[in-house]
Amino acid sequence: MHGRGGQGVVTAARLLAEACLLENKYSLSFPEFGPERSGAPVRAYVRISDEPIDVRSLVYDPEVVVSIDPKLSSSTEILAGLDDEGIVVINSRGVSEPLLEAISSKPRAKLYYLDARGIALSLGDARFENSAMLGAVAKATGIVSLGSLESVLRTRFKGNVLENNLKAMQLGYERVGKA
Amino acid sequence: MSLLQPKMLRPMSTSEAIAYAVKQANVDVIAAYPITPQTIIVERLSEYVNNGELDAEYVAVESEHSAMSACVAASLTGARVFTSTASQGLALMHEVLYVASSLRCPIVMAIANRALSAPINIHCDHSDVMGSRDAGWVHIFVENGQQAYDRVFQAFRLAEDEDVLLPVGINLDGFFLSHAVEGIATISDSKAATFLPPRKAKYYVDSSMPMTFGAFALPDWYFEIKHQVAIAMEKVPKKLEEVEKLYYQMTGRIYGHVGAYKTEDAEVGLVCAGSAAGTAKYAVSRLREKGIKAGLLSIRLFRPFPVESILPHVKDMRALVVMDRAMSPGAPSAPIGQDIKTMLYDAGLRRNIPVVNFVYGLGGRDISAAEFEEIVTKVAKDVKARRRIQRGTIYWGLRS
Repeated sequence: MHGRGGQGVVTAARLLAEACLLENKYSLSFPEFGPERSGAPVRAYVRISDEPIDVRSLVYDPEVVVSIDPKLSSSTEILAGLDDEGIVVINSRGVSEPLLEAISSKPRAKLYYLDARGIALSLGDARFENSAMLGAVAKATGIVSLGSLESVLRTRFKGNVLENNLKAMQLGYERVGKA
Repeated sequence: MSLLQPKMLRPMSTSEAIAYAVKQANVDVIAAYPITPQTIIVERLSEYVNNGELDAEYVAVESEHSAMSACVAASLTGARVFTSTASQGLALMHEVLYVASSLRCPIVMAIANRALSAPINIHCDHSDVMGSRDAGWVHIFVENGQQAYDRVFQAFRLAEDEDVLLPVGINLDGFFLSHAVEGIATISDSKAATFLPPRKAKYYVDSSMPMTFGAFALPDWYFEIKHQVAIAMEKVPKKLEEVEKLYYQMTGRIYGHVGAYKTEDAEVGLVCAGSAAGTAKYAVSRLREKGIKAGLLSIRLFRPFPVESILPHVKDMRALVVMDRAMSPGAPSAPIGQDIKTMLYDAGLRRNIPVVNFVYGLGGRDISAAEFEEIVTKVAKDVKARRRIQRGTIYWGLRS
């Protein structure tokens, strides 16, 4: 998962991993920080498995790539190491030419996009975009159900913040499109 | 080993798991300095104390030097004491670490292993603990969050044993473990209390029973007093085994002094410590698929160095690859390399088992399973061709 400090990349990775546990899959999530400040690029990793997870290194050949930052979403760098049948989910209103071209070298890979920022802003705060992206990831990959993600969100947030995060996630799930 | 279903596990970062275990261990005093490079271990603990979930004295001190000083003083009153630090923090504690062990304070400390300045870096390596390895502390390395959680209970039980009475460091890789979230099997508070009843110190500071602690000792006795730390160390492997057996009866989980994987018929042994062990284990399983007889030995008890537990695994191997996440500039080997070579020398095996010592992953540089495979494949080929194995320290993964 790619994003920038302050966008909730690490939180999104953790929520996804926690939702997988609820579905009886082993999971491991961890961040890779550069300088710890808002705005700096941040990566977070999630491993999901039916078996206990031993490998602790960074993920070099992801089966799923998520970009929570709209700017990073147009960069081909996020495709590094992508599995031939990989799935890419980006936060963007559309898909940039270079990205389309780059992914065309992997005909079996799939690219999805969602205007998560638009959704978040319509709910009044850009910080809801990670939840919108989680909804999109659930739909695009099927690795976890919306229900499990919802349960995890409910343990973490309350009140209006919870409601808006749930709405963002639901809209993300509904609106994600295939490129 | 019995495994719980993932849905029965609690999602926690290793730091959170440690804090939760420390709460369940019902510690009396925590003294810590909450600044980078700290972990959220002490943050969670301060919340537990503040919420009233943990009835302990939380001493917010002004430096790590003070943190360890406060821990020593608290421990001498008979209290159960915990602290946590990392990199520069451990370095600043350095002189007090020796006081803690020589005054036989059974303090438990979690060390999120991180690089030392300069350059300034907040990421994982083992330089911090390696700089403190002669301070008379028992040191345990954990490979994942579950081990970290379980080792907290074991560490207190071991440290507070009257035959041991030494401080214990639980080493967890910074970021790779401290910030990694996974499902943890927890024990109930009542089980924790049964396994770890309140500390009963034999000697402690008590005005009704005056005693001297931290006295002066000149050449006539200093040496003998220091020697007692070495004697206590010798008892640790057996004691840890006993503690682990009890813990196993309660949880079904046991780790041992070393984690061995496919060592029975291995020709090349891979030795490492910390979070890299899991990655190395995967690499070994891949090497086996390719017909390369590799085996893994993860050093879980590092001080005292568990020679008797390692030797049976390696005695018939044809080469050892020792991976150190710290360097010892100017030394003939990096820290774990030194220990392994000494062990082989004493066992009369130095000619039979050449050692290739790698320094890797400083300042948080990652190591992948593919890299472990590459390293072991090369050594295995040399062994097969009866070529001379490369000696000296190899710095792995440097940019050219």
